[in-house]
Amino acid sequence: MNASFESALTEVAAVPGVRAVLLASEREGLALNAMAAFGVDGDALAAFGTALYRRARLASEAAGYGATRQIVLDATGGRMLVTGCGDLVLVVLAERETGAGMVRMAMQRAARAVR
Amino acid sequence: MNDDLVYDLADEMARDPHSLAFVRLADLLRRSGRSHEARHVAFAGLERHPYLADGHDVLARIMVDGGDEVSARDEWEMALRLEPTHAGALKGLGLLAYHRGDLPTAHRLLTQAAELDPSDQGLVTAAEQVRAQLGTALPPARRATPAPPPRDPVAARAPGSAPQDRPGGVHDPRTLFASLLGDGDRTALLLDSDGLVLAGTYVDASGVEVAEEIGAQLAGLADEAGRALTYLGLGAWESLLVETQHATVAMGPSREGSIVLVAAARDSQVGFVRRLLARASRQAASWLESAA
Repeated sequence: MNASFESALTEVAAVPGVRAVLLASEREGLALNAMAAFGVDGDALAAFGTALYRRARLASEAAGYGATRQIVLDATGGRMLVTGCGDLVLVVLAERETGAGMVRMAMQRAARAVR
Repeated sequence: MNDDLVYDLADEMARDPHSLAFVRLADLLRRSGRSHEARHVAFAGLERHPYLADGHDVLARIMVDGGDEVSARDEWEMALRLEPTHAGALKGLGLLAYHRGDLPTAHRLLTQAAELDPSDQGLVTAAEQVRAQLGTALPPARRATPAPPPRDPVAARAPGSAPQDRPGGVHDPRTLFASLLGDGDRTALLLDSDGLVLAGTYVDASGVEVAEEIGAQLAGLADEAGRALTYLGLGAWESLLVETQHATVAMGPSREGSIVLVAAARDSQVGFVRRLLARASRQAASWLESAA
């Protein structure tokens, strides 16, 4: 993990409303690096974020949509975004009101840095 | 959307306001849901090229996307006056005829368009479906072999795959979302809690219905999302958006555990797909309520 990625991860975490950002292995669902606010279960976020991404990737391929780039899950109590970076995934947990556009841009920069 | 292409075309228009690139630029903007900009580009282009059939054709598509079928019809008729064999205008007028229940006219126009552009599989399928509804010799409508997955949602949701609602309401659940989807690059399905199709349709590029397969694949994703939210304490799910190589797919919950799913070509803006989901969800909820 290089310095530019660390910087990009910090940039994602600095977006207002972001409560956690982590990099995890898609296969194992384990966090490799995480920045999370107090009270956020980073391990659970890594596990469920990667599981959702993996399921989306398989479903998209089966449906003929090709490779999965990003997923955004909106719920009444928050927003989860997941981006693939090779065999790793970048998972972000944010407040529901957080602007998805800002987070997406920061995540895309981070994903480019980790590839 | 291919932003680079839009940029290049806009740049070309800036350098040469008389360029015919306005047709392609307007259509790209239309497909990405930027209808206001698309309309502006089309009008500006037609001011300079009032006798260009393609310009009237693209303006008609913009109009019909916005629900203004009267203006769309005027534009397509103008295109045909300028170019009597304009396949796009014949197709558009054929679909409008189908929309108002004029099957003989729809059949004539769509067949003529299909003969002019046999490479448009969606058009051929549309003509065949109207022909079948007219009660003429019916070609095999569905293959017995398993459906191949759709590779391109633009081609996949061919115009014939989602005939428009007829006046007086939706008679066929397959047409539930037809009025929302516009011309040819989007699809929508309403699935029950088991992923079975309740309404909408999805036809792949070869004209085969693949709604059940797509529904089954993607409904499982909603289950996974629900599990994640429950464990993470994030409350009820509102929507799930998946950006892929070829498509942007959005889904959200509806009444009685059902799921609304919309898919659009990858060049559609994400915000547009979310808006499409919201509109499809309202339509689905209303339909489910009336069917209850």
